[in-house]
Amino acid sequence: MNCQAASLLLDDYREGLLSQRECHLLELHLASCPECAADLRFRPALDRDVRRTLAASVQGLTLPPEMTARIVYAAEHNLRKGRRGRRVRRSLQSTVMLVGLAFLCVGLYFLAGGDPSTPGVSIVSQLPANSLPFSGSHDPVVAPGRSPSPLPEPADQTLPSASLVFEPRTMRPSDPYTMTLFFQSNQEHQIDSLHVELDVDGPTGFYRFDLAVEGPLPGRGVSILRVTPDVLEARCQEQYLMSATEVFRDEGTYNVRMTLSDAVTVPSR
Amino acid sequence: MKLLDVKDRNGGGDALISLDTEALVLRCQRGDRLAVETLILRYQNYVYRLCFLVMRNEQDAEDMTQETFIRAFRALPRFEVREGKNFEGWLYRIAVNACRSRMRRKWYQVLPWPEPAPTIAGEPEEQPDRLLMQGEARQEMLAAIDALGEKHRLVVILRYYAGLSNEEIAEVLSIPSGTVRSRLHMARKRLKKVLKERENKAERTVSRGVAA
Repeated sequence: MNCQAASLLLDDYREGLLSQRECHLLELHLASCPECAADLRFRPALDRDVRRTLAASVQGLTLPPEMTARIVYAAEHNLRKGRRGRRVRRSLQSTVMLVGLAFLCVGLYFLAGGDPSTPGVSIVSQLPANSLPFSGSHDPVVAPGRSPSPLPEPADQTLPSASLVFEPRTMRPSDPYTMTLFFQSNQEHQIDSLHVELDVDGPTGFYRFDLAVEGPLPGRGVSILRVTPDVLEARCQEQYLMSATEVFRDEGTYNVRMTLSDAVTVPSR
Repeated sequence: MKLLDVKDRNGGGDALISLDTEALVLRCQRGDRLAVETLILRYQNYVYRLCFLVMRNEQDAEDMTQETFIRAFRALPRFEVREGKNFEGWLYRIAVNACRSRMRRKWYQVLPWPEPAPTIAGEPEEQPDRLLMQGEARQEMLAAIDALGEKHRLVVILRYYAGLSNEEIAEVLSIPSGTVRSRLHMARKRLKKVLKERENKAERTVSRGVAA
């Protein structure tokens, strides 16, 4: 142990706070170092002197009575503020907790497979060209009661084609349903964004819905996009049947226009 | 920890005066005005003196005492009364921080120590003759403490005036206890020098007197 380390331990040594090992090491050092031994002897006198000096310098110093009254008044005022602040903080904490809980529930709902409310369209999967998903059980028919039909062949091979499928075929307004958009493209370059214009001409009115898809989508292949129907649910009370689809390009953005060809009013429950 | 100047000014606080600090704090948190006053009376002079030692003038010490209690009572509803957490240490921490933030202001100028009082209260049973503190000697020691610089001075004040342990000082100043030890070590080294010089001076005076 050197003098620096020994000096740092002297206080604890005097107060009996050192461990047995530290005590032993320090005593060994003190036995061999007259300077540190003198420091230990001198320390009580130094401590006493400093303590008395400080005590004497404030001896008789008392706060004026008018100051006490001011302090009591200010303290009471601030205590009230503090208590009010605490109440506000508590209610804020409760609100934040409730909001957090709500977010957690929504998150869990999505994790469990619920439809996201935003964005309007989400990309479900992207398939390479020539592997259309319409074979087998998957049915691209857009209108109930009609025979299934494949994606319409675009007149211009360079233009993409699109089809929209409602599931289930028959539903009531409050029934959950999905709307799936099949988008086939033969482009060389990937598609950065897709704009879906949905024209609905129902018995109770005409609506246009704009749904944006943030890409990229593959240039060649079929993209399966899920159109979340919640944007429609609030305003449409009919079941809509989509048929004609039209894809056109406008300044680098592909637009898919789908128009209602038939509509059946769903009887209310 | 010291408890000083407990007075009953309003006559209705006899029961409160006998309460310990934790019980008073709990009553304050419930909005008991008498408890607020009792708690302030219990600590006001101690905080005032601590602030005076740090600030070195009465006006600033008064301001900082008021500031300390304002800060403390605003935060009191959040203070948790539990074992291992003492109110005094918390109050000193607020006082020291209030003083430090005042001293850090650009316009703040550190004043010299005021003139010493003519007499010094001592503890006769503890006073060896050679260490009888005289006004001049005390002033020398104060000047030496002053010359330590803010960091070391605060540690010395908290150790020797507030009577805090190294760990408590570390908590008040938010520094590691090892740093407290090394600052105290450095401060003592310098103060020892002052004390030695004074002793030598006294010895020389005595020897001159004997020779005469």
